[in-house]
Amino acid sequence: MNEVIRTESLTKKYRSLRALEGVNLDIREGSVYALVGPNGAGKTTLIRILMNLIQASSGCATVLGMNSKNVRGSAFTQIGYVSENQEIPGWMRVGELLDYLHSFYPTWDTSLEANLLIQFSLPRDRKVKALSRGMRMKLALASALAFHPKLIVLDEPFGGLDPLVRDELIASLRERAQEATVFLSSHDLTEIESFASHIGYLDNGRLQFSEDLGALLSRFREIELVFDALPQFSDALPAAWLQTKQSSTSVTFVEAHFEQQNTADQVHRVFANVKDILYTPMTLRSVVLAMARRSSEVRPQ
Amino acid sequence: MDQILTIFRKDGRKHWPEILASLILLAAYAHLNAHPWQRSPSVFLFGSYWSLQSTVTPVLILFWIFMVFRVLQTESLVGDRQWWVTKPYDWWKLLAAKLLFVLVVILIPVFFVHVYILHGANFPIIRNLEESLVSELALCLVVIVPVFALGALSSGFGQALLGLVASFFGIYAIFWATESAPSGDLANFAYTSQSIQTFLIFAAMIVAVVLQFARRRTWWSRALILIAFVLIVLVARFTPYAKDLEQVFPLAQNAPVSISIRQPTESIGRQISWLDKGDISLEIPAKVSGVNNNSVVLVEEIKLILKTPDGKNWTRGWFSQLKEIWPQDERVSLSYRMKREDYEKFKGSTVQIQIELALWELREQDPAEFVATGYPSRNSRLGICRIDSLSATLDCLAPYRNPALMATFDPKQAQCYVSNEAYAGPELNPVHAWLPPSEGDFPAPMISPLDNYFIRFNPTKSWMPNEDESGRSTSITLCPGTKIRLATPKDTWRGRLKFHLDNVAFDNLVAGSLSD
Repeated sequence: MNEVIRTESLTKKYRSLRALEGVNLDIREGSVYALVGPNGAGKTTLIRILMNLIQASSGCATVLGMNSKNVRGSAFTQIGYVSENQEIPGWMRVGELLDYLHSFYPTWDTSLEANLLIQFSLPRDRKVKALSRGMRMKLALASALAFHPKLIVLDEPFGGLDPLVRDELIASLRERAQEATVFLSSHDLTEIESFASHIGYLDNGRLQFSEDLGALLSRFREIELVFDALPQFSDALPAAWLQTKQSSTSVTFVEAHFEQQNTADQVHRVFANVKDILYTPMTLRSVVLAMARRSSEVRPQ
Repeated sequence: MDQILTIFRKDGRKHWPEILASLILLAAYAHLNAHPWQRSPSVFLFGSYWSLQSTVTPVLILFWIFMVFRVLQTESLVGDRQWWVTKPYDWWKLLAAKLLFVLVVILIPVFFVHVYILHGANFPIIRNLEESLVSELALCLVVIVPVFALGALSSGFGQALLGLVASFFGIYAIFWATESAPSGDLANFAYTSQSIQTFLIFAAMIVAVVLQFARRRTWWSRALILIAFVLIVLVARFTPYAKDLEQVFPLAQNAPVSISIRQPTESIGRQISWLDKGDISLEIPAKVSGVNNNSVVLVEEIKLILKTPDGKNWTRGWFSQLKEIWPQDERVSLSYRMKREDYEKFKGSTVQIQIELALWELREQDPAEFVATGYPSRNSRLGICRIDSLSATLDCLAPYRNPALMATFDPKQAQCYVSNEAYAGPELNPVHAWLPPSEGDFPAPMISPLDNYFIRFNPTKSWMPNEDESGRSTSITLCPGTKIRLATPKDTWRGRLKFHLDNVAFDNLVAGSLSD
């Protein structure tokens, strides 16, 4: 499979602030890649560089095989981009806007457009400025999907939307994900977990990890160690154990490189008197929270 | 083409109220200007009455600026949150759509206004077609290109206003640089320098607009305009204006006019009071003679060098003079400007002066007779003219530009009496008027195709027999039936003459009394 998005040592500086630092990213064709991270991590900056809205300070990025600096004009016949920050022309009616866009895209699918309008309950004759925030986001998504883009880029598409609208958007994205690569940034980890195939975690401008979602979830476990007496340390804690907490008869931590046998061996090496080990699979939300907490612990003040 | 038309149609739908208002204003303009000599209604604005005819033009131009700016801002090129930026707009198609809007909403209607007004005034339309198109091109360059630059480089009215303020500072800097350059008064004469400056500013604006549409590099585009302004200021400051002039007007031994500079007497300085921005006006009297019949000699420029016995030298380089010497003229008063602080250095001293004059002879060609009338009458050379009832002036209308012209009439042959306000000399000389040739000039950006120009006949100066230097003007009336000789001026000679005058009491050169 080809790489639809690729970045190499991508860095963006705003004077002394480093919004992105040496980001290396590969997103393969057909994947649904979710970029997550705390506010100010650099997610929107990365997307804006990819969409040629701003320029990187150094490094390079390619989108659909072209340098991101050349992503303009006809390149957008293959890219559907939706951002919560975009200002859709409010004076147009929904139908007018879609009719207007129709002529820009050779692959515009009027039946898909009609389906999306029904699916999103968008009234054709309503002025855009009279639409609610959620409706506007649905309109933006409809206009980004109706031409069968090869790449769908969504910057915080679910921010501030009610759960019903989120579900509608996700359902629609799931359908389109069959034929397109989806790259999105979001805080909504629960929703992302339901349909993303790959995940990247960006923090403080650095890409902390980027991998298949299934692999990620399988390598993270919440582990609880049960003791009869006070836990006795016989070795140092492994670096992959995150958020270690100790009580009188138990120790909990998050294992970032879980393999049942290895983890068990490590536990026995560290704690000679462990009685029982309980392994609990983690949700994406828990994994990201654990990563975020670790980052804030190690981040220099 | 589809995309261009799609964007154009969308702009048309969005801006229909502005388009309608523009067309109504233009229709009003056409109606008021179809008969420029008719008294137009007045409007009460800012505490006084204004003629509707003179009010509608600035309103129309300001409205166009507003409308074009709004149309450009529909797809704002500044910022990264615009929705259209991530849609498959081809930049050149977007630019073409905006230009198409200007063409359809402004230029084509203006063309029809030209046709309507020309037709109304019975001027040939086909023969004036080229001028009409060139005039529209000038309108594009002077109004549309700057608005495009402003619209493309700003994100809204606030930024555009800042851009305007910055432009005014830039223009002020250019004026300052020109004025502070030696012989900067010749700036209008320095065609090469002017061409470079014009090219720089328009090229910078056009390149900035294209760069902004193609790449949306706002700061690069703004920097380009700034660099152009800086270069223009440098060109204005360091152009060797005198060199240009001295090439066009070579130093001559003989001239088609005899000029002798006279010692200024004490009486001269007290009769003309002219102080400008702290500048002191110096007046140098000269006797003239020998101008060929059917010719005029123009004193285009003057340079004055003052020298004191203790070796102090002073000059401000060349200054515009634009004095006409006709065959019957006997005297001419030359003027020069001096800064107040320079004046203080020479006050009370005796100086040696060196004067250089750049002269230009024009001779009548293809003379013909025109009988002036009080009502509008048509002439192939002049257009439509009538006598201005208040003065010895012909008020004329011609398509796009006035003709280059030498005009003469003999007041003694006029059908009405000469009104003699102050002094009737023993003899009345023919009176003349001259309009400079303008064939080579770029046409003005005109909304109306009619150029309303005036042929003003200079009042004759009679001189008292006792050589009173002041001279007195005799008012001449141009009356119906007066025969005027019209001719095309032919450039026959250009050159420079030098004069020296020793032991001049500097104070006698000063025109007007000085106030502190």
